[in-house]
Amino acid sequence: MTTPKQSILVMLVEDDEGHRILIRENLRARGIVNDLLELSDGQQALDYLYRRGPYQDAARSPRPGLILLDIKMPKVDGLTVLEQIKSHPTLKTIPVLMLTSTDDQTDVNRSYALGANSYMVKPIRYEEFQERINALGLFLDIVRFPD
Amino acid sequence: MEDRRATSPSERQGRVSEGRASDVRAEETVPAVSTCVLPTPQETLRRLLKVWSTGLLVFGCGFLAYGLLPLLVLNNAEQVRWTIRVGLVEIPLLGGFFMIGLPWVWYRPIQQVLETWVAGQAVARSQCIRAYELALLLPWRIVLAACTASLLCYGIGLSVVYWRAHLPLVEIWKALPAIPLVGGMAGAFGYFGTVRTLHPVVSRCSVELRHARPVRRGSLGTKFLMMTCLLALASLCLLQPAAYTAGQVMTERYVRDLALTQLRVAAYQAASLNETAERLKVLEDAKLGVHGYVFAIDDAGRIQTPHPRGDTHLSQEALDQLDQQSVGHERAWTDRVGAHRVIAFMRMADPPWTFVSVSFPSDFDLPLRTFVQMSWLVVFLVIGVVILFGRYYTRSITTPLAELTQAARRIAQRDELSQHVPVTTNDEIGEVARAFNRMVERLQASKAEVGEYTRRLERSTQDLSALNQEMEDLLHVVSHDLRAPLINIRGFSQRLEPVMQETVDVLDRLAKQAQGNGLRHHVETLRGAIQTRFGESLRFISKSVEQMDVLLSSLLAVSRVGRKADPLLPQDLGDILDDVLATCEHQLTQRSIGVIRHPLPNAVPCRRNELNQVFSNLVANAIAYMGSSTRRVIEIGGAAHEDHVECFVRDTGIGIDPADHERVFQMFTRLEAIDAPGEGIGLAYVRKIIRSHGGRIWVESRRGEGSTFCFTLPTRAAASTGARA
Repeated sequence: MTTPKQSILVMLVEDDEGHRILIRENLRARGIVNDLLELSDGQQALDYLYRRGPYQDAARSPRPGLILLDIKMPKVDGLTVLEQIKSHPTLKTIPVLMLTSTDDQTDVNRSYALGANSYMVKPIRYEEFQERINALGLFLDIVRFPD
Repeated sequence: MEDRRATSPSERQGRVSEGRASDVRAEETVPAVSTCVLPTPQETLRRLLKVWSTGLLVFGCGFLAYGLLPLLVLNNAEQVRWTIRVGLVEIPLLGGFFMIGLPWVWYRPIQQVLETWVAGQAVARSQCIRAYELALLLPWRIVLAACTASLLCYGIGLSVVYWRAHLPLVEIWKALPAIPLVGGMAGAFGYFGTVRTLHPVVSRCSVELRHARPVRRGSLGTKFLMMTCLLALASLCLLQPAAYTAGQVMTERYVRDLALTQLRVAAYQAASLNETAERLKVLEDAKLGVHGYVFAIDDAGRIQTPHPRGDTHLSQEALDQLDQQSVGHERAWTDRVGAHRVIAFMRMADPPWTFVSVSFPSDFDLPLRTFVQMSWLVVFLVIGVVILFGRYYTRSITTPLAELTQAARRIAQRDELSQHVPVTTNDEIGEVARAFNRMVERLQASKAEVGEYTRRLERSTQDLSALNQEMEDLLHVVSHDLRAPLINIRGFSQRLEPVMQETVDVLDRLAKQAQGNGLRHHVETLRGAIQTRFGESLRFISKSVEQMDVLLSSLLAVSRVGRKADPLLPQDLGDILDDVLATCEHQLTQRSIGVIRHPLPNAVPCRRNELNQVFSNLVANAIAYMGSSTRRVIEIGGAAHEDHVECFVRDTGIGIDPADHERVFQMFTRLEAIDAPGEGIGLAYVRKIIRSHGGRIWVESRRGEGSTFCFTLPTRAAASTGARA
């Protein structure tokens, strides 16, 4: 583990535990060793970002440097979370990468309209997934570079 | 007639549609619906000619009767002869022209329409309107023609008789009322006969034209007034000449008797006198009226007249008669050459003179003239009364009718079914109003019924579309959500692969290091089991997941058609086909399939990605179902029509049985058990896309003869409305 100051925290909001595991493992396999905060629904994500409930302690709940956000989630869905993030004066600077299970253009278009920075289709093929994760790694490299 | 009952409704409809197709677009044709049996054109013409000929006969009889009767009564052979001569020439020529020739010319357009109908063909609307108006006008035109004929015949006839036979002016005046009378009589005959004969034509026209109204409108009140005025005038025309003639005859007889009596008195007194001057003085007293005069003819044939002005210019006929008279004879008669005059004479024995008295009946017909003047007055009075009461009476008919018309119009235009007309009379008009009210009530009930059905239909349509929407949403959600577990299955099964490989490697190494044969055997068995079972399982899982992924993608694509509101933009279908063929190139060469391309329409409003799917699915289908045909060609082309484009994709493959033509477009339908990829969604997807564009798709094919898939896309306003269908 790198020091928290140097590495940025990646927040993964995903309701499907399997997907969380697969994404985590693929990130690690690619060599992305950033701290990974895993949350299982949109409500938790908002609570964390707005420091509500169990996440009130600012020291223990650092701001993430990148958010991987699933669109279809229980309680509060990804698009609502995205909307809230992007309408917040400070939170809106955090890059958000939307995760979708299909390449439905409606979701993609709405995501971009709400201010998403990128999107990724959760692929069926392992190889494809690997490529996506590589691209994400590149993205994180760039984000990390100035430190 | 029965055999002339044109054709059955269905046949007629068929012919009408043919006629419509061949007709000019702008000229709307009238559907040939008929409620009454039409007589043949020949039959109609025969009946009309019969009516018109009878009219001419009436005209001739009237003319001769009204020309001859007064003359016969007043007994002038010369005038009677000339009247007959003139009548025999005029009636066939002038009467025939006006009462048969002209109506026939007017009737010809109606005859043409009738011929078209009987032939079972459709009649152009403008032609039908013309025939309708002509048929309504023709009876009136006939009346007018008869009156004109009467005017001309009398005018010419009276002039000729006046010129050749010295017809007195009074006779001309007496003949004038006969002009409208004879014309009117013949016209009325022609009118009613024509109306009756043309009735089927008029009613057929009105049925064909439905709401059309003749351009020239008539009013019941005006017609009634015209009729009554004509009747009053006719009665005057009929009575007046007769009464006048009778009056003339009576006046003349009175004047003749009076003149003879006066002469007798004068002769008696003269017999006792010797002086010529005294005798003449006595004779002077025998003259009658203002213009009457007397004279005496002595035995030497010299005329002795008691007054200097003495007019003795008698006609040769009168003088001849005077010469033949024997002594003691007396006689009086009317000389009708020029002004009528009554001539009375008396031949005396001593002296042998003949006293002659000439008197003019016109000096004595003041009461007769007064009677004539009074009769005109009476007639105009009657007409006035008729107009006054007729107006009131016709109003009692036309007002309820106008109310009915208003109510009917309101129903037709504004659908106000609450219209009830008041029933104010107990006659036929009241009956019509009652029937109208009943009809409106029935209509109201029917409308309520229809409204209820419409509401029900709307509800079920809404339910259906809601259900459809629900199904589509379900399809979307299901295909979307099923993908999440698939990702897990695939992801985790693939995670097992390296672990399995590692385990196999470890077991391999273990087997090599194992000392005992038993243990080595166990380890090798385990390694084999893991390699085959696990490997196989993972391969199957992987393959199934991929299949399911393809299926879900297709389902998702189908569910997306029509959900997106992407606008239709003009696209070059040729460009789209270029893209599609580029992706299939490999498959085409591999399967040695040739492609023949015809030009495709440009600037077709559509969604490019969807049309791309249409062509790729159709081409992929053509490739997949090419089978083992010897001629392996896919032909693609299209053409632009007025408001749509039509494209086709033709192959030389295995073909489709006509019974399955509809089924191929159903979802999850695969007709062939051959090894072709796909889940049976492709054509359903294509059909959904084409329908969402407002077009339609169909297949023309027979087993073993290849298939042609055709589809249309609207290019006009229909495209925008059809796009969301």
